[in-house]
Amino acid sequence: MLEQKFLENHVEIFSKLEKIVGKEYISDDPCILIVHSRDQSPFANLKPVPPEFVVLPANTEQIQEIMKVSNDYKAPVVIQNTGINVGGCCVPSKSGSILLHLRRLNQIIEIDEQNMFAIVQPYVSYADLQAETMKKGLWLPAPAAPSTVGIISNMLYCGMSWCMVKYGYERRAIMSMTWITPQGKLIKTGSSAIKSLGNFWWNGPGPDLKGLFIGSVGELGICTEMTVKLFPWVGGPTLKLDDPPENTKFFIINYRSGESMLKGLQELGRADIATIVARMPMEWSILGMPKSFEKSQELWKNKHQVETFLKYNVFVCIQGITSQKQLEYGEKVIKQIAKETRGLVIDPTMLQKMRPESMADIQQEGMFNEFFRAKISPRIIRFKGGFMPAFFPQEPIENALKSEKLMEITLKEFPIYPHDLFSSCVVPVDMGHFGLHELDVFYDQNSPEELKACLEFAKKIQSLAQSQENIWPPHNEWKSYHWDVVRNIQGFAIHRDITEKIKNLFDPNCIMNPGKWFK
Amino acid sequence: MCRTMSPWEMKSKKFSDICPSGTRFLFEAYFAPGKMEITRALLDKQIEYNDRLMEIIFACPLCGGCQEQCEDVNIVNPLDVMYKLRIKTVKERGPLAAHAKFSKSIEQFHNPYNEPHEHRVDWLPENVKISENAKTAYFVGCTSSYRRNEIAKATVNILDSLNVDFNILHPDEWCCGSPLFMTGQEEEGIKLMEHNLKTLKEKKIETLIFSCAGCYRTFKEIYPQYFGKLNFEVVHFTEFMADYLRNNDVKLNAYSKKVTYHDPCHLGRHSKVYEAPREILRKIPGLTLIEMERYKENAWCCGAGGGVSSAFKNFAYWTAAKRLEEAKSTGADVLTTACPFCMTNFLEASKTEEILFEIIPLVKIFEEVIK
Repeated sequence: MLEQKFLENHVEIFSKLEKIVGKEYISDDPCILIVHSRDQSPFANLKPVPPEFVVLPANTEQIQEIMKVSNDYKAPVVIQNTGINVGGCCVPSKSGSILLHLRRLNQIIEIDEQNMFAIVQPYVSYADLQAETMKKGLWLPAPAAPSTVGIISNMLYCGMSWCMVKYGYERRAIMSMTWITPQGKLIKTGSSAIKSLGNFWWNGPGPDLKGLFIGSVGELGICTEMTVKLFPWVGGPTLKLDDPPENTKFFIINYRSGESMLKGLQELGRADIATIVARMPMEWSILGMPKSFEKSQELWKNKHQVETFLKYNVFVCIQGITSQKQLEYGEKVIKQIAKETRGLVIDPTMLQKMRPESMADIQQEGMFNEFFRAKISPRIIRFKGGFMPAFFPQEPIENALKSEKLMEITLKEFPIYPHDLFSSCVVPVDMGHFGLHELDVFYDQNSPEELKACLEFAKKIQSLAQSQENIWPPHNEWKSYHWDVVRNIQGFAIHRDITEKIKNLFDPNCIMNPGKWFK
Repeated sequence: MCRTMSPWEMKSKKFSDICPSGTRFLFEAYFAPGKMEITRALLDKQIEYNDRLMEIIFACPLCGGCQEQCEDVNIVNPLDVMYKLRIKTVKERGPLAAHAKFSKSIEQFHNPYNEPHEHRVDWLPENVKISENAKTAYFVGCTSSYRRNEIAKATVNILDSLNVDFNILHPDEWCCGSPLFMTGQEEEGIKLMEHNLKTLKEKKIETLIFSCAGCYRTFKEIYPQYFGKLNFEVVHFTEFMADYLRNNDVKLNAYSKKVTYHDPCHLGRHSKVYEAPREILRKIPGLTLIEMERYKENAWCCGAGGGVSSAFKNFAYWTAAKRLEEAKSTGADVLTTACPFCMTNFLEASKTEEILFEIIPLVKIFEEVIK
């Protein structure tokens, strides 16, 4: 049976929390607790830890009060939001935790069309906000995660977007935040730090505190409100099921070699013409794009027939933001770049004629809208039920193939990857100044052997990160493992000391989501 | 993904939820992912049955909204897990008191409403011609027989006016078993199936028409799971009428109203019948069909199914009130649907809501325009 009462003052704490949120919004029932003990990450699966209480606060003030209680009793606090995180960051790592679920903080507080920003609470997803803003000709570029992910969570977790070539990392859209520190104090960042100024800009007086919170994986407090920048949207008020958005065109450029593909990615970035530029990994295309599981299995079985075709494909999307002429001009530029970099612009109808016949299915549904309001990305877990981004280097695009080779060699040592099909995701960021590369591993959550292999693999990545100059796991995927990765890297000592001091300053009782980043 | 409707089709934040249970009770345990974890924990003996767990398992209309979203991933079938979890729960802990109560009524009176069996066809108009040797039968269902008999009357009136040769099965029509299967009372449900199938075989029925989405789905999907392929055709009234209108020149009177259609879960998500009711409505002169934001696969449930209306009345009305609010936002004059159970829940919920529109069964609208 589930052991649930670790805190000596369980009854007392329950009573205080109940007083803050109300009887209906707190539970210490084992069947409420058990569902928060793990997510699909191998880390959380190997050692599930249920919280001691689940609490549903309604507002910033209640969370401030809860933080005071948790400090009084030194009870760890873990935050969960939309439940899309798969990296083990939102489940307890210590018993006796208070799990705050932010489901009741679900309001779009304001959409300012004139100044192009929106103020949202944590449980507002990208899909929620887009549904409202697209009607007004505005949007927040969609995440690569399912668009039902919370905006605030994904921004602070350093989520990526398909539109990074044009709009950069998602977190660049953060204008201001309302932040509750682990001790229950309230901080406003950006221009909102001065009450009379409002939320219009990301810089406030003095050092920018926003940077502290991004990537700290919930260890420095809780964001209860965020102002995000919105961008012009010309795709129409609603998305249609089978058609691309209005004023939007898609292209697939097929390359015969990795070198020419990289050249193409660079040129497409520099041209500053596209909203989306991405090299799609083969397994994403095969597993994710067919609507039915059966079709994706059929394609997977015949994957070598399509390997040459799928290996170096670049997806490009352009939008006529100011006019139809812009769209026409964009198309000319894309075709010219493809020609100069020896790429072939593919007519999607070609897929219909290819063998195996199930190839036709990879373009029938979802390809267009997926980039704007992601829905089908979870299909990649069809392969085994669990997935983990394995490599996540961010580096100049020209290093992508070198990284890919290293990924391939490393992955082949582990039984958690389909060895005979290999390609990574490459997305140019900020007009191609650098690229983000991703390669995923797939595992069966119910297989202890595969979960252990994932951990072994994680250790291998740590050692690689310390030995290879160009393999740098970013601070968004490796939770506590990342601290191990970076702490011994030469030259990181000052950064390490300062961040440790900041953690101690903000969270002297070490109660805020412990074990996720700092150790 | 299974907490909201399909993000691509989301038109507003206000009408984006898909899971009545999670949206109402808020704790993650009430959403499909939570229920999957709870099932695993029960199997691993990490948790025990208690009142809260019974609420999590049964305060869910089994509308299939989560299933519909999950089909995009295709690796789990949450609805199937939930059915099996209910069967396991009933075997190990017993049914909820409210569910046991209607089970007893079904055993005694062959309907869940505690109504005498002999009154099952009291609604039957005398002028309607029933043909005892007909190969087509109308399965009336308990709700249309005892609670929404305007639906039963309209159905037979239409069949009669179209000169359809049909029979009804009384006194051998018993509850289809849906309330029992939905609440995990599998063994009791199988007994009803056996009886109904025996009756249909004896009467040599080739086509069975339903006006109830729940009965229709039970025969179409659940009966074959236990007894294999049925040797008669299972047809919902909307399918029958849509087909009839396609193949016959029927003159319909004008119905100059704006109408919004609620997809019953049993007919829509569970049986994939989305077009037939819309096809009928579109053929009615003067009628303007306005869709709600959540429709077809993404429809918000009426809240009554899965044993919720008997065991968790307030939750059932809360869910229905949300749907009424959505219907109101369309500006329609009429909310219509093709399920007597949805109708009942909407009508009950509307008693405390200011709705400013009529709630009329689709079959009644059709009866009016075909006269």
